[in-house]
Amino acid sequence: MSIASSWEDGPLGFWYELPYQTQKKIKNVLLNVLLAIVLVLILFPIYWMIATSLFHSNDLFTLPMPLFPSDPTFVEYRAVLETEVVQWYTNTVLVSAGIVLLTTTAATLGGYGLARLDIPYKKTFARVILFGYMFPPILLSIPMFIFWRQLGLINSLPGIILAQTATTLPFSLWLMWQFFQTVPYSLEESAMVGGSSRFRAFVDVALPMAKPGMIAVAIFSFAIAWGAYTIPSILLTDSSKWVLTLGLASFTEAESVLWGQIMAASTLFVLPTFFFMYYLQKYILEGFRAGRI
Amino acid sequence: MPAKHEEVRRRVHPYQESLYDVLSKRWIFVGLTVLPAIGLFAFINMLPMLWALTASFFEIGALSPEWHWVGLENFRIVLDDGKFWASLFRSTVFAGGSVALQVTAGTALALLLNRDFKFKRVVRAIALLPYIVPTAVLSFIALWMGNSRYGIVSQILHQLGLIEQFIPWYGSPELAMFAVITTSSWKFTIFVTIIVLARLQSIPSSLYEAATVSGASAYRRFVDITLPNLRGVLFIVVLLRGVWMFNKFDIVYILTKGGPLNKTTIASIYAYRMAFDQLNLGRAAAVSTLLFLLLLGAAAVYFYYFEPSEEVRVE
Amino acid sequence: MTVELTALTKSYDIPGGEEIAVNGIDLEVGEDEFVSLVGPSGCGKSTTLRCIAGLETPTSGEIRINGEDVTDTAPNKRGLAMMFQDIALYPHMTVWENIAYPLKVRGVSEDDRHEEATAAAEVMRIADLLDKYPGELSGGQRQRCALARTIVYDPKAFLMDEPLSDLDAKLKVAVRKEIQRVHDRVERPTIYVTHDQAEALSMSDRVAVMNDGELMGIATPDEHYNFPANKFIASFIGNPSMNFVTGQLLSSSDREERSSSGSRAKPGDGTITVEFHDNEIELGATVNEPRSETVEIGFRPEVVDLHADPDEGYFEGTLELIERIGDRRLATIQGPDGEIRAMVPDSYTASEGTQVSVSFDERDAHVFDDGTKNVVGRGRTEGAEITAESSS
Repeated sequence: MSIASSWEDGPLGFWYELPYQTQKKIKNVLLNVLLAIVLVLILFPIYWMIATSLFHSNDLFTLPMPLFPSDPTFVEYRAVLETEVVQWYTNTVLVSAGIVLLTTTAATLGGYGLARLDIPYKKTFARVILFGYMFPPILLSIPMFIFWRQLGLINSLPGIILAQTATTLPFSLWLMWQFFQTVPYSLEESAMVGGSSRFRAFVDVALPMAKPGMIAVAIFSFAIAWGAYTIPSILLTDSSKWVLTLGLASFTEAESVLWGQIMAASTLFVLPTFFFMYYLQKYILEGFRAGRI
Repeated sequence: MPAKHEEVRRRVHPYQESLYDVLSKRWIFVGLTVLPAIGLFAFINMLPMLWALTASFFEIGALSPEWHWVGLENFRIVLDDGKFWASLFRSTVFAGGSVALQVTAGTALALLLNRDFKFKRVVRAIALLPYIVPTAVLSFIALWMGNSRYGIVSQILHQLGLIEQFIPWYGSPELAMFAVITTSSWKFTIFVTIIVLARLQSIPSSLYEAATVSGASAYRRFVDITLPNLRGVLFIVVLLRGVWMFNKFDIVYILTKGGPLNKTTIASIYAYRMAFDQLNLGRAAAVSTLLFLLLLGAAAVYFYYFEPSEEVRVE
Repeated sequence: MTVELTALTKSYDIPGGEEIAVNGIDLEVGEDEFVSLVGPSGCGKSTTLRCIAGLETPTSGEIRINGEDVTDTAPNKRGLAMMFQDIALYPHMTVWENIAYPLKVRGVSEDDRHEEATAAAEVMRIADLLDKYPGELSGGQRQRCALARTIVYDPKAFLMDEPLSDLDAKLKVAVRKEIQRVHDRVERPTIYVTHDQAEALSMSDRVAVMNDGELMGIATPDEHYNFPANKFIASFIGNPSMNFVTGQLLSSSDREERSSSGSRAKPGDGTITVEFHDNEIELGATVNEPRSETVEIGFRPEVVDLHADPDEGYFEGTLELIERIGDRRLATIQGPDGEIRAMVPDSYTASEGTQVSVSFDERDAHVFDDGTKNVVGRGRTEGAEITAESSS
């Protein structure tokens, strides 16, 4: 209070003479301006990616560069499609679907079991899960390369799905564990007393209740899978098995960097995922609300 | 009451019901739920870790698959290497800088988003976008935008009269670390925002109303209500982001390959070079073991000093 | 149909030992009987109920339903119905799907399910809400929906775990009536857990009072109120609760005379004489032998009289507070052994702060042994039989 009163006498004193509602409105406008600036910072790189992909190549290397592609061209896209990009795209979709499916299934089942069942040493396991992240992933890929080679999983999509799940599973498992603790157990108990077996109560009652958590986990693992680079770069050596991130890097290995093609491929890579994000955003927040994380 | 009779009821196929009964047996149910996760975790996380821990005591030739026991020799060599300590220092700067930037910016953005404004749904969706932009894509966009001759960032700053010459953001020894931290934070800040925003939405508004009525300023409400409620979330976010950023490899490697002048050679890149350029797997394993132990120790200290007893439940 | 518990015990392992939640409870709930389990929180009443439901596995003891041992039977094979404190309606299913869920797991066809769920909803007067989701219902409607879900099949017994505790006072009374209506209609044993003794007294055929995992006594509401078997029941049952003053045991008749009288005194059987605050009163002896010299004399606020003249009462105290309770007033007096509460007529005029003298009707007094806490004597000698022995 004393601070406020000293401010009232200061050069900003006029502020305190404004009606409360006006103060509120001005504050709100200022915050909205701040938010708008943040949005520009977020959107500009994405915009610039799309714009670059539409520029003619001579526009790309003039100064000052125009901010808008006044005469958009799809020539870079055509060039990109002549490479193996369709194959890489298919691989990326398959790998991501596999990782999301594997992670979400294992994390949901495991999270449920850890939250609900009386399993010895489960608290110890909770900490061990987070330890899983303390090992540099780049170095996990070395033993993986050695094991996978013996199992014949190098240059195979199932192999990369399995390996990349190492980076998505621990956090997902932990999140689902937290999430199930927010689902009242009495719902399943009521189903069980009402005649449903333990397994059926899990399927009919617990699973539908866990949907927001499962979607959050699916998005988290999708974001990692879709952009996976480190582990694929070690385990996928054959360019026909590459995922898009590796393909992108290959555009730079020529003498000069093909910015137009990189941005065209990136645009193809990123845009479809934006639509998911829009429709799933409400579940993301619900899922991450997971009680007391 | 009513109830038709048993013959109406018993329409479940007997084998279906007995399948459910079998699946519901305690140890079968435990196995069914927990085993896939634990099995996967053991196979893809624990096993490679154990391999690396073991390998750190051996000298492993790149071409011959033979392992020679060398005891602590790998550790001795790594710990004697000034480059290792330098890379460790850079990792700390990178992780510390990234976490500080991401947590403050992420929390601020969450507070900005947790208000009423027009087009809320669209705005929130936009704010979430960086989370699904792949690291590799981001790196290339950043390299292009920060290009030393045609970079749009330098161009705009130049047009605004803020700089006189184009800046090679990722090629300048002074600026590279700063540029890398900023770039990675563009993407990962949103992780903090999502978790903080989810928590903010579960703070009952009655707390704020009560505080407002009893005369608390906006600042006091933030300090007395918002922050204590975010404590548990921030604890886990700092831990996770700290660990993730400390071990980060891909974004730094694509942006700078560790350069210029090794100014961004963080520990994971140091280890990568040890393994793939010098083809010394044993020594690389020793580096990762050291990093692991270091993080473990740091995490233990962190838990000891900061774990909020009530809000974070790791069980 | 019946539910029987024999020496039911449940303990949990805690760091440094074990915690006994339920300690050797014997209970028999007869054909279509309504029995309440009542006690303060943490007394083990919910754990007992959850053991019966099969949601907890007893450490030892036996549970029989219709004479059949179900101690190791999975909850879904016991054929019971249960209502939970948080109602436990499935938020992702509509009202009719909720009600019909127990039929679904029994493999009833969708048409039959719909028919029976509608019938159950009509009984509970929520037939117009069948297509809504639980989130759209009011508190009372949710309770009705949960009740409908328990009657849609034909359970062997009803278990209720504080189903009314989250409702406001008015709704409580309404839903209480519904529960009784359902109970009367289905004629199945009902076990009702509550911490609210008034609720238990008003609904039940018999009330089992629990404390610290032990069964303190089971009897009809009238018996509990008029002939409490021990000090715990005496103080737990009745609101405002019983007053106690400390006294000394002067004499009591010997064992033979006492044994014929049961836990309730009978005329001419035996007597017990106690002294408190320079008063001496003689009451009928019960079967319990006094073990210690010190006793506590209990009397309900309803039988207390207040006098201005110090010679008229047993002892004096300061009138601290008078508050209105319905058509009477409750007076709180600071006496020599602590607070004494008295129900006085509306016309009572003494003002707060004055000295008053306290008396009570000897016939409504109870004497409890200070060591065993069991009743050793009482004034009243008529009333219903006490069916269970006090715990000793």
